[in-house]
Amino acid sequence: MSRSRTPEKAAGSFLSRITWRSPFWLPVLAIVMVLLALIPGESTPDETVGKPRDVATNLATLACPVHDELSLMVGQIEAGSAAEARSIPAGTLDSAWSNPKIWRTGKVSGDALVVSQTGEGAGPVGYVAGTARKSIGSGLIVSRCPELLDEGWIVGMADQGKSNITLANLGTAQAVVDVYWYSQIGPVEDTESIGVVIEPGATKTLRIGSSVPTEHVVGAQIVRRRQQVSAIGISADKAGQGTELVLPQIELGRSLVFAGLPDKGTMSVSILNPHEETVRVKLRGIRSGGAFDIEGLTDVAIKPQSTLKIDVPSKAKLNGQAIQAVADQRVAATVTVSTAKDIALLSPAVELKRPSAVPVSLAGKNFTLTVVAPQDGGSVALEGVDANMKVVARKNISVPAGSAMQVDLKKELKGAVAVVLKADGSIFAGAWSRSGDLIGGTPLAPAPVFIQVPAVAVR
Amino acid sequence: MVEENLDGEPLWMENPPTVAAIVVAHRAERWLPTVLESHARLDFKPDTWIAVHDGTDARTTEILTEHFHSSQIIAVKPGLGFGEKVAAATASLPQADWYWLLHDDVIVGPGTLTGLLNEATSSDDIGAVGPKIREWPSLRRLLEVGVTITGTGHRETGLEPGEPDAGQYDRPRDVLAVGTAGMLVRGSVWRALGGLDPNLPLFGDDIDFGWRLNRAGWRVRTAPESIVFHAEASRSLRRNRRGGVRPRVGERRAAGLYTVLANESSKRVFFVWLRLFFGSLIRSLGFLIGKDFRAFQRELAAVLTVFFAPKKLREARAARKPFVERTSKELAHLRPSFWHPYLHGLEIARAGLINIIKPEETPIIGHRAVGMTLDERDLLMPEQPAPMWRRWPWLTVVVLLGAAAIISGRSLPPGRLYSSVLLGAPSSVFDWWALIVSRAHDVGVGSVDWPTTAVIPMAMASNVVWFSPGLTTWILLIFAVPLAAMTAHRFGRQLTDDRIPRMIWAISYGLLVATSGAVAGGRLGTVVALILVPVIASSLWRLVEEPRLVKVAQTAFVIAVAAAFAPIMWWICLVVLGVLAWRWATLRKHFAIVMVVASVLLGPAMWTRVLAGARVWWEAGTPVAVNPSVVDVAFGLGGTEGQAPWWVMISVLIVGVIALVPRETRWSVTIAWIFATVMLAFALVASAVSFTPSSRVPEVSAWGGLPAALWLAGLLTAALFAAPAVRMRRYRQYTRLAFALILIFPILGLGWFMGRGIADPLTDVAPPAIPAYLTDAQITTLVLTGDLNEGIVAQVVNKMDGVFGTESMGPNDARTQELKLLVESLLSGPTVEDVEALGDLGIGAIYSPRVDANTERRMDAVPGLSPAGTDTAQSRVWMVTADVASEPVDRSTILRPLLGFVWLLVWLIVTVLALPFAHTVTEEEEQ
Repeated sequence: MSRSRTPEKAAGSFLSRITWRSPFWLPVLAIVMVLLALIPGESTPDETVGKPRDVATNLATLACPVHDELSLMVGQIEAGSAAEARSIPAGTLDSAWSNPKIWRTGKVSGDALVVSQTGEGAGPVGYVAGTARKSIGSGLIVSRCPELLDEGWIVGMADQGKSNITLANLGTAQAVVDVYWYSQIGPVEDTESIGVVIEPGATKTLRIGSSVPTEHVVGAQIVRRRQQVSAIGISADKAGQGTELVLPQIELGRSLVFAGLPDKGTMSVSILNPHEETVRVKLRGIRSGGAFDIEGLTDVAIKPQSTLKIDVPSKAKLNGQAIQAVADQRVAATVTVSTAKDIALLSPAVELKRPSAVPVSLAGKNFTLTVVAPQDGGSVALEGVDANMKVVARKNISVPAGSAMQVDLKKELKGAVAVVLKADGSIFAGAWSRSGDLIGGTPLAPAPVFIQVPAVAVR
Repeated sequence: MVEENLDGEPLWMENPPTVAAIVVAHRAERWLPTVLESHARLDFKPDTWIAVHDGTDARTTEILTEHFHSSQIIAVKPGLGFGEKVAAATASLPQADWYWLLHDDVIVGPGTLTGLLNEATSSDDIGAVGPKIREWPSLRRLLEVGVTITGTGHRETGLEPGEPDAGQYDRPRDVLAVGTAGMLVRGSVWRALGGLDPNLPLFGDDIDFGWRLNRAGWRVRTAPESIVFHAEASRSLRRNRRGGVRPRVGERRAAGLYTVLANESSKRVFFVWLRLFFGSLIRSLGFLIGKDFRAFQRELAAVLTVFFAPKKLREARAARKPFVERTSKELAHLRPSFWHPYLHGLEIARAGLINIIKPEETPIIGHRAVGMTLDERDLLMPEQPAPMWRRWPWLTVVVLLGAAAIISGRSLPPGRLYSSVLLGAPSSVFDWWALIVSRAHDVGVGSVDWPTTAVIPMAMASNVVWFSPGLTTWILLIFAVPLAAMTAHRFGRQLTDDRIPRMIWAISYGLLVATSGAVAGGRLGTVVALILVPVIASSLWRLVEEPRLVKVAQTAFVIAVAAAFAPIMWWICLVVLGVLAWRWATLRKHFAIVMVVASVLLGPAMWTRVLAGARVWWEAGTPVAVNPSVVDVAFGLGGTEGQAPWWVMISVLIVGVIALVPRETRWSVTIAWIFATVMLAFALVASAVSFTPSSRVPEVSAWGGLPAALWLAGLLTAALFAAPAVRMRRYRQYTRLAFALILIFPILGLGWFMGRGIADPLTDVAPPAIPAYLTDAQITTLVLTGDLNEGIVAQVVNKMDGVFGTESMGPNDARTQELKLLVESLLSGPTVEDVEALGDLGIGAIYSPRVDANTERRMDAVPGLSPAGTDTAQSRVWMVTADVASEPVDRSTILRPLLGFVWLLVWLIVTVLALPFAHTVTEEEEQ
């Protein structure tokens, strides 16, 4: 008789044996399995879509305020692929401004010139400069061209009927904008500025004097509700002497750096607290020798939903240098520099995380660059380019921590029509110009080389 | 009432009418001597006898020659029908007042002819009289007391099969026709109408003749006083048909159709034609589905014979037309109602259903019903009717579970149900079928993906509620517990004969479906799979017992349906079949075929779910992450909202462990425990697994409620196997304790089930994907959720989005990427071209249900979008002002619908093969 056993029989007898001799092995096995399953823990998949990311801009639009007396310069960080310039309100295309590979300079009639430029990472920028006509103060204007606006803050404009905010509709359908006003004594009710309708390709001007009468320091929150809009303020002083364009501050901040302050005149800081509680602000001066607290202005209280104008003592000697406002909550602010004949209003500079560009001179006015490193030290590489974007001069500037540096662009970057700035570190900058008592300045901001794109998941 | 003379004899006896009796014989040596003897005993004899014979059988000729004078015998050529033989006889006879037609297998009684003449002479408008026909040799069972024909062309006697004669039809009455066996027909009428129709040589000639006679203004009467006994030799296959008329396939059915179409009034014949034609086609289909291929063949042959020979019908109608005196309306009382055939069909369906369900019936009078004949059981009358719950305890339980289910679903009225997992049903079943066979689908920006395979069984089940397919889902979820209990109970009959433990086991199993959280969570996949698991087990059991094609098809079908809803079932079944193949090596081929057929039925789900790694855990419905806890799994819970608390389940674990104690039942208990442990392993794996449903959907943790519930089902089965032990002397003292333990779970579970209810998250309110006006206008809408900082989820809601089955469908990767870039552009640097591209994708609106300020501002800046009204304060709608494409973007090649049809055909074939209908042998088939 064969002693060999089939696998089935062998397995059957094995099952029989373990079943009969140890009937509870299965519950034990079950418990062991459960305990083992406890060891690796329980995973919870991440269901978030993701953070926004920067991508090279393919299309950027500038809306440059133009008047007969203003000169305009439009250029870019990198050569673009196409550009379209349309004047507002005429709506005509201006081919003189449609070459995206050069720096273009000239004058344009109308209210504004809208430049839409394509090209991956081209980063178009534009500046206006010139002396304003008498009716708006005869002051020197130096300003960067504003981009499209979602929300913006303007503060510190005077109210003598000379100042206004100009809203331009850059889209193809009716735009709607809300403007909320603030004064030194609180919010100002003005229903007419809520739901301001702007026809496509048109501008609308809100006169501050009519909206907020008898107030000295006016603050405005501009909220675009529909379509593509840009905004810019024009401020004239009480006496009607002096003019400046004011770029909206696009985001409230707790640390605001003002660079590009002209080197002559008295200085004041206008601050808007939009919150419902008091905000405390400390003002710091930043000079080439270092940063310091401005005496007497280390703890300024701004009442809820109010504006406040703070005069900076002349002994601080900050002309041509920089001011930093540090608040315990996010605020909007502007620095006003006044001379006998003119004013310059500068909104906060934007950290140069991306390249920026500024003209060397415009409308016969040479620009001086102020570079500020409010916290840590950094450096800025300056590339002077000619009208064909060819680099003709270079300069590297090291900015020690908590200091400001000034560069005479005409002198330092000979032959250049514009300068491209590439910062390393936390660097802010502004440009200013002075001709006697006529002063003008503008904060610099990164060119729209990159745009923040939200993470999108299609389900 | 027969008029009598003073001697007590019928009045007609004073001047008796002349009667010619015609006996038609064919191979009748077996019956003829007895038949002829009965003729001799008649108390009133016909004036003339004549026998017709076709000479095919020498013995029959010999018997006739012995009995009749040669002048009384007429020889006809073989192959003639009954009517032609009678016609040959009447042609040779002198004219008689009455002809009496007799078959060679019909015994007459002494008073048969008298009785017929009593009725025939009672009125001058009586054209024919028929006797009461009883079965020979039983002599008690009635065969006919007059006949009629239904609207669908079926002979109708009005008798129950095997109905005994108890005098219940002893009142003479007008009928449409009487059978030719013993028919007494007025000679003048016979001659005028031309006798029986030669087009009906075998079947239907009697009904046709009676109908013609009635339409000609004569009456056909039954004479129950007159009785004959009919052997039905031809029908019962006892007669040798050699030399006689050979029936063609479907001849009986064709005769019925011919008779109706030839005799119906002109007004109605068109509609009757339609009814019969399409009705016959549907019947053919029914036979095909029921796998009664011979009946299918007969029905089809009859249709071809009758409907494709219009000349014959025209001639028959033309021949009848001159004699028409009465309308169909006047004869309506002689015909069954319009609905009669359908009620009959329903009755057959009911009987079939009962056969499938086999409700448990308790013997209540102390006698076992098994082995008794029908008659014997009829005779055993209970002394007093027992209450329903005693007679049908399981039926009572099912009714109570149904009531509990309705209580549990009290806030969910019949209609569509929804949850985060469960998508809604479409507006009609057509939409589900279209998902299989269309080239493009209105899902997202258009999809050519295959839908979830579960769509096919859902559509098949929902065909009966075509415009309300949501009812199928509603029934499955609301009645999940009783349905699962029913399937478990049916399987339980194969496991044990212990009725009470089996019912408790079945109830407990049913409750597992609810306690796992699957019902309240709207996890239809788990619900359907748990309902089908006992069916799969039962099918496998039967396959092992009886390895036939039908059993293979049934097993493959249920596995495919279960796996279509819960793909993990494919792997579970593979494991089980692997073990069975190891045990029953001879059946390996069968098991392999089962898995192959099931895999073919699953179609694309095989590679998109079953064989797609962890995606096998994606059951029917939206993949929604759960929070699986190992402890939940141990207690048989799915780890989701709507599951029972752990303390409801704990008794099952205790009972399962205790079941291992009795040595006598340990073998089967161990088998159940092994199954349970394997299921626990599956469930624990699920608790640790996450999967990515598609490139569009983020990773989600798997739902393991199905194997978790099966883990406890295994323990319950172990307890069921151990139940007989309590009857043993050793354990008898623990009987009460054991029953108390096994009752804890059903009591707690049922209480929780009814108390909590199954609503929440299950609901009958559709989640508002987009505002109602966009839905009504059928505007494809891009829905944006999230915010710019944490990311935006973009989903395109098209007409079919949110419909069950479309959860796995979406645009291809290129289209998805295109849409992604488009949305990114809209939210960063929008242009008019972006909006035009939206229109090209068919998107007409953008909806953000909870819009954040940043997103709102950016969307407001998009040129080409115009704000529109919305439904809530937190939401925004923008309409696309560009031209919007009306067709889905993607269209497949023609191959896609062709494959869809092939897929459906495979499902149809396997379904037909799997249907539990047996082939029925009919009388005609026997012939």
